Amino acid sequence: MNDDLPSRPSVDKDQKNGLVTRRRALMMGAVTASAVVSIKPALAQTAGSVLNCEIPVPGNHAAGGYIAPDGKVVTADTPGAFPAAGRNFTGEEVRRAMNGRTLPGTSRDQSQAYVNYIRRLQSGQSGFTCYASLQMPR
Amino acid sequence: MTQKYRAAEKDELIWHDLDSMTLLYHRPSGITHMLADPAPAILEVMGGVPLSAIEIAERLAAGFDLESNIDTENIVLARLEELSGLGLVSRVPT
Repeated sequence: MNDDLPSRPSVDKDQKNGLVTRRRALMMGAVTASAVVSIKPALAQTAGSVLNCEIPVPGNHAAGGYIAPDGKVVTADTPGAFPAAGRNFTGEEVRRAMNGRTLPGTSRDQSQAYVNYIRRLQSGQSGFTCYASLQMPR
Repeated sequence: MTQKYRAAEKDELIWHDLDSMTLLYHRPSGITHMLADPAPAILEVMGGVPLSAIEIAERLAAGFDLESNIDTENIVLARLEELSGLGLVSRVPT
């Protein structure tokens, strides 16, 4: 099972010939001890309410495209791809979908494809600011 | 069924190691995160495959010296939920 572990230079795997094995000590901390501090970009202050902001699927930059299961925008004749959502999703709907629920009016697979599309949004594309605001630590 | 998690894709992240912290820039959200142990190690051992908290705990135990007498699985689970809330890890539908 460990064969596919990423290699770590800090881990000395040579335990033969009496060599001392050196592995980095990892401080696990406590269950309640947060391990991440996030630096909010400036758009955090300009993002609208997460409840009300909207994400089109796809956005204007990909109008007419279909959404593949992995979230990429593909042509309409791509097998397994889903057509445009037909309505914008609110930030709250997307947040719920990212936590395992289904986007309203979509099948489970369709919802997952749309969420994958939203995860791939980049700065400057429709819905990016809304998506980014979903991830702001509160 | 046990919940599995998948780390954000490699090309979505830019890593920068500091002395005791790791800076992680998440391209899709444009957010920079400062990570302390064990969060960077968790993301590292996850690779690109869906894993449960216990599987990640096993990988950590295989690659690192861990303190004894700690509940590694529950600490990993708590960190996964924290990373999930930030978009650095996603829950894989079961």
